[in-house]
Parts: sequence; structure tokens; C-alpha cells
Amino acid sequence: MSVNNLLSPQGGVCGRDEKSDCIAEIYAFDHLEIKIHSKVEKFFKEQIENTIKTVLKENGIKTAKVILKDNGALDWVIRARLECAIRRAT
Amino acid sequence: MGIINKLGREIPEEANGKKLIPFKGAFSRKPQEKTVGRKIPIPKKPHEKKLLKSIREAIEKCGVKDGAHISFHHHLRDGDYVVNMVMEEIKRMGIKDVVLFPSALFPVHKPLVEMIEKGIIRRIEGSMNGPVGDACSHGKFHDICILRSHGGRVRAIKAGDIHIDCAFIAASAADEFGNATGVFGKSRFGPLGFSLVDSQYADKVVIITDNLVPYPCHPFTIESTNVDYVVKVDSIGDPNKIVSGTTRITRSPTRLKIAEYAVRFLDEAGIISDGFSFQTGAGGISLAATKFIGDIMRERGIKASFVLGGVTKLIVDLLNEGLINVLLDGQLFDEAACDSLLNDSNHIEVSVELSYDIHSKGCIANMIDVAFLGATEVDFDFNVNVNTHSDGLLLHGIGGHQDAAAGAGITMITVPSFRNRLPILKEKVTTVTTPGETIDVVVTEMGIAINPGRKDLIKKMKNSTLPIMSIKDIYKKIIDITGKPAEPAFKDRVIALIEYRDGTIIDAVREVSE
Amino acid sequence: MKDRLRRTRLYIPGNNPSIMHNIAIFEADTVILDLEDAVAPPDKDAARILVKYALKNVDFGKTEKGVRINPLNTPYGKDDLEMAIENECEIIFLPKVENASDITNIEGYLGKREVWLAPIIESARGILNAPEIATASERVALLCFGAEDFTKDIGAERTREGKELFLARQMIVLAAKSAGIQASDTVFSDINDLDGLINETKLAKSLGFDGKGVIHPSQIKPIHEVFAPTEEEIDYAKKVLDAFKEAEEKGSGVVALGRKMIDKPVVERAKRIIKLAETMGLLKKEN
Repeated sequence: MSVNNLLSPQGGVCGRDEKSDCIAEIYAFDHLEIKIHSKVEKFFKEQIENTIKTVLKENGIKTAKVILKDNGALDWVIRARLECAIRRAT
Repeated sequence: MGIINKLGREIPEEANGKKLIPFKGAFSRKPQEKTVGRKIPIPKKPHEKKLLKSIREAIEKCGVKDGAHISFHHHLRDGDYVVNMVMEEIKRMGIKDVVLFPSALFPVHKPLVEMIEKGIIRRIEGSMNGPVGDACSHGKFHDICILRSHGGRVRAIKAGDIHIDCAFIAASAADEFGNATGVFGKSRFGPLGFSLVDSQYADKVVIITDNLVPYPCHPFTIESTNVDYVVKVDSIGDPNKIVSGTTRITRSPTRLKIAEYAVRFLDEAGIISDGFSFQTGAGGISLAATKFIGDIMRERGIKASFVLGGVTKLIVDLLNEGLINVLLDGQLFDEAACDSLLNDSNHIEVSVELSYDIHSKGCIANMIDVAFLGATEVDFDFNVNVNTHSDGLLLHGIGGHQDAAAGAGITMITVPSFRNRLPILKEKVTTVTTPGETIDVVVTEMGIAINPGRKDLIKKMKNSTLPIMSIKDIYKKIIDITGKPAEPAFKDRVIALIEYRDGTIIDAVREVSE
Repeated sequence: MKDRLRRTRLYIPGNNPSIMHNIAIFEADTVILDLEDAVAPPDKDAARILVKYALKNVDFGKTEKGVRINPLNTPYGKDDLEMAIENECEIIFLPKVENASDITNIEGYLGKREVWLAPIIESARGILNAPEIATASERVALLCFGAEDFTKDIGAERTREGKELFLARQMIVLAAKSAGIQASDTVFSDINDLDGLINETKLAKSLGFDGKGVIHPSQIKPIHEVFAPTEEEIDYAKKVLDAFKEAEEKGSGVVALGRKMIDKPVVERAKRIIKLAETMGLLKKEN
């Protein structure tokens, strides 16, 4: 895992706007802001938020702007897309 | 403040000025004494004309006023023009507070939402779909709406729980005296079984057709003895949306697997044998299951004594092959089915009263060996929800679910384990449509659960290699993958009631909180 | 296991999560999470990470976990390989293999891990070098044929009867069988043509192939049915195993069926046939 957590201002995007997938975007920011737009927000908002926070923590990222557009993606898919977005942003 | 019914659901004590009876069990309620009658009509003079110039004239002549109770059938499905045409005219005439009794509604009926918001329609009893259900869930109706199954709607009409002032019956062919049918004509749709009871009990009956034929229209389902007026219009619906060109079996591997498991289960339980019967629909899994059953029947040289549908080309082909003796048709979905109904004497139209009415001396559902049904949710007690999604929005009618489940020898719920990350299995369903005591087997691609009450089935399947497990174990498997969803929030206001086929209230639907 | 059942190897696009959670239901013998042809260059990194998580989180049931990596001489190959072997991939599919060195180059990365290699031969040179590819490493377990690229490579036209592929197919089988490993035929791309699929699979079986490539789950059951052992094969296998048991009980090193001597590969094949027959429900499990 990358210890270098310097996110570029252009950020990174990964994923597809398709069923069971999601699009994760991450940008350098001065505090932690997480925005989630999901078909299943009413049911899984807290879980999705926790997943995002966990991935950020694993990557040593303390501040960032994260936007997730979700189409019912399972937890591991969200992790994969966010991890990829982070790599693309570093 | 409300009553808790047998399933632990809280329902109000009364709705729309009437006292409510809580659900007590699938076969527990004693019916009312007698069916209701209607006024004996003033005799028509010989050759007296029934043909009117317009829908407006029909509405006027039928005396439709503020607060009128009006009914429609749904045989035209999403291709229907009639409901919107009649309601548009009612709106233009300044009539309001109408109570609607459709046998079902579809997305095409979206224009009703505006009328609901304006109070032209005060409530709907029967069935709702899509945009109208959504409007109901957001509290837009003046009254509490009531959802009924196909059989329950018939019961309610016969018992007088519903009084219909005027029934508007769309027909693809009719004569000017009022004999009407749906089996031929440019807008043909097959049986007219949903409207039979309306024609017998409504105060006034209007046939709306785009195909006037010389007297007598034949064959006919609706009899002129029950018809007051006939109106001809240019078109009653969009033929492309009324019946489809072809209905295809699903290609989805998940759905195919579920169908495969369901049919293997029946086979291992010894149900698929010469002379057995089943009910099917047009849903993807249902069609696939029908195909697999057909394959087995063909291979072993056995025949089904009858099939109740939901008729599509697939079943018609099995009928033609000689694998089914008789096809009983409550509604059909494609061109091939339509042709078959018209031409094959072993393909018979049946009314919904005959198929599903609990207050009868036995309906077809009571004779069926297997029914394949769907669900939006199923819970640990095997209660099934088909009306709301997990977010609490009212998006579907009941259809024949409660009726088929109560009557069938084995009721199988065939569903994927989750849709869009949302598990189909839950500890408690958001809304109860059909009680668990009438549900026997739940089949998902992750596992099969047998209702603990069916000790006979559990015994038969003891040595099966199918993934049979407790419903809680299937649930755990699903949650491991999806995570456990949060519960939706509701306001206190009850906006709709789910009525069981015997007239008791099985659950209440509350306004969504957003 | 090196020679486990591989009647079907199902390709699943590596950047598409929606079908991945169903892998166990498909009941393919092997699933290939594809990072090569199914993924466009801008998505290669995203697919690699998605496949990493899929390997760790998806239920594969009885299905073998496979990944098709990009060739090592692309910018993606090494990272693909590293990801696959670090995440319990069981068999690695190598596209466009042309000589033994393609295999030995990979070996260096594999260390002591138990992971099989499945070279996909898709060119004229690859076909001619098939014998050396099949024996390049103990890890090579399955030799695969890719007809689409092969036909383009030799400038021929793909036909229904596949005359243009006959020699190539036979070379794959000869190379594989003389090396004691399995051979897998190319995919059948018309997913609506069931009869065509069955015919081509029957041809592959008769040529000695052990399995076939699959691009849609609906092709799996028909292919498994074609590879099902016949009644004669099952009867013969039973006789062989009875003879083997007898020899064991007698303490004899020689297994004889009538006047014929049965050597080890035949016994192994008989065991496999019985096991396959039991798995497919053609035979009740006995000891």
C-alpha cells in the first residue's frame, strides 16, 4: 500500500455508471468531505460511508473530498473503485 | 392507536368511515350472509338504442356525479387508453371526489396523479402501480386507499363492500346491444374475465369499443343483459403494448438457476407426474420454470391435466404439443396466445371469480398442484410482500398472489436473493401481502427454504442434493455479501390498507418519510 | 490440482462487477477473470484492482480461480501477474504464447507458489512451438487454443466446419497429450447457436480435447453434457477399476483385464471417468 498520500488537485476518478458498479472520485482537500449519491442510500448510507473511511485510513489519507455515485455496488466493488481512484490521484 | 392483527401488524380501527376487521388467519373469517343485488332495471323497449355518441354522453346518461364509484379492468395493461379517456372527460365535466375501482393500474395511467392531487379522485380501491402508487405513498390521496387481490376484488363486489355506480368496460369487439369480447379486433387482448363481476353487479355498465360489429357479436364474454350503453371510440389502446410480439424466456443465469432449482425440487418431491397441474405467469423465472417442466413432461411422456395462466406462446406450444390437456386462461400476454384462445377449443377463457374467489364453492386455485409466484420481500415467517419495495413505496398491486398461494398444493416463491444490493429476505417484511401459512417453499439461487409447517415436504426432501436450508441461513449468506440494510422511516399516517382475500386487513401502509 | 476437471473455462470481463458475484452459480469448471482482450487500455489498472478484490471476496464455489493477464511485454503484464499470484489465483492464462521462453520468463516470478499456467496459443509460430511450450514447465497444466487470432495470423477465413483449424487443433492436442497435460479448444462465439456449439464441442471431444472456452454462462451446461462419459465408457471404466482392485488385493503389480495389461494412465482415466459420472449424476456414489 502506498504510504505517499499526496493527492493531486486534479484528483482521480474510477468506475462505471452501471448496475452493481459505482464511480469513485477523490480530490485533494483541506478537510474530509464525503458525498454519497446512491440508489440504495436509504439502506446502506452508513455502511458505504464506513467503507470509504476505512479505505482512506488504509491509505493514510486524512483529508480529501470523496464523491461516490453508486448503483447498488457491493462493498468490495466500492473498495476497488476507490482504491483505483486514489492510485490515479497520486 | 390501532389493533394488532394475527401477524402482529398494527392496523387502524376504521378507514373511510367503515369499521375494519383485522386478519385472523387464511381460512378463519366467516363470510357475510348474502351477496348483494342491484336494482332491477327499467325494461328496455324492443329495438331501443344503446349506442351513444361519446364518452361524455355515457357519463351523463349514467348519472355519474361527484363522489361516484367507477370501475375499469386492466386487460389492456400498459397499452390502455380507456381509463385516461374516461377520467379526462370526468375532469372536463368538473366532477370530483370520484372513487376508482380498477382491477389494476399501469405506468400509462400517470395522468391520474394530477387528478389525485386536485381531488378529482379521492381514493382508489383495487390495485395500483408505479406513479399512482408513488403518489399514494406520498400521501396525495384524500382517503385511505385499499389494495385487493384479484379474487378479493370479486369478493368485495359480491359482498357489497364495494358498490360500483358505473363500470366502464373496454372491449376489442362489441355489438350495439352490448355483447362484448376481447378475443378479436385490432386491439384484441384475450379474455374479459376481470370485468364479468363488474357487469353483473354495477348499477350502470358502459361498453367502450373501437370495433363495432353486427349483432350478435360472437363469441362474447360480457352479455348484453348487463349492459346499459355502448360507445365507439377510435382506439381503446396501443396494440403494441396490449399484447407483445413474443415473450422470451430469461437469459439471466441467476433466474435460470432459480427456475432449475424450483423444478428439480418439484421433481424430487414427486409432484411432476401424469395429470398434475400448475399455475404460471409471464415473469422471467415463471416462464423458465414452465419450459423446464415442459422438457421433463416431454422426456417422460407425461401430461399436465391443466395449466392456469398467465398465458404466453410458451404454454400454447406445450398445449399444441399435447403435453397439456386444457389451458385455463385468466389473462394472456402475446399474439400467439390470442390466436390460440380464439381457435383452440382446449384453450378456455375463465373469469377471475372462477379462478380465485374465496366466497365460492371452490375456485380453480383450490385445484392447482403448484403455483410459481414472485415477491419483493420474504421474511423469516415466510410472509411475502409484493406491494412495496424495501423503501416503503407502494409500487405494485397484489394480482392473484394471495389467492393462488392459498389454493395451490405447493406455493413456491421464486426470487433472486438480492436486487441492487437489497436483500429479498428480511427478518420482517416491510408490508405483508400474503401470509406465511400459505407459502410453502422459497427458492433463491443461494438456497431453498421449506416452511417448517410442511413436515411432509421436509420429509420427502431429506436426501436431496439441492441446497435446502433454513430461511435464516439463506438470509445470513445474503447479508454476508450485501451487508444489513437500514430500515425505512415512515410517518404515522396510514395511506393504504392491504386487504386479504377474505376482506380482513392484513397490513397497513404508511406515508414514507423523506 | 494439476489435472482437475476443466471441461469449461468461462471468460468474465475483468472490469465488470455485475456478473462476478454469480460465479458459483455458473458452475463452470474454471473461471477466467479477463484483464486482456475484455478490458480497454484506459481501464487496465481499474480492472486489475477490481479482479484483486473479486479473488478475495467472491464465492467461487467449486470453480477454479483463473486470471488472464496481459502479456509480459506490455506495460500491464507484470503488475497483472503480481496481483494474481498475491491473491490466490489458481491458474494463470497467458495470451499469445509463442515459445517456451514466454513460459520460463514467467516462472521467475512465481517462486514456490502452487499456481498452474495455461498458455493460450493463438498464432502460427505458437502452434509450431506447441510441444516445447507444453513441456516448458511443470506448471503448465492446460494448453489452450485461440482460433480467432490464429486465423487472422495465418490469413485464413474462419469457416463453420473449421477446416482451416484442423492441423492447429491437432497440434495442440498432440503437444498437450505427449506432455501429459490437458488441451482446451477455442471459444464458440455465437451464443444464440446452441446446435453449432454442441457440434463444435463434439468435434473437440472427438479430437481429444478435454474442454472448451466459454463466453456466456448458457454455454456451460451443453458443453458439460457433451463431455459426459458415455455408458460404454462408464462400463469399461468400472471393469478397469475392478481389475485394479483385484490386482491390489493380490499384491500384484500388474493390472490385467482379460488378456490385456492395463497401465497406470488407463487406471487414472478410469477413476476420472467414474468420478465425473458420479458428479454428473450418471452414477450413484459407491465405494
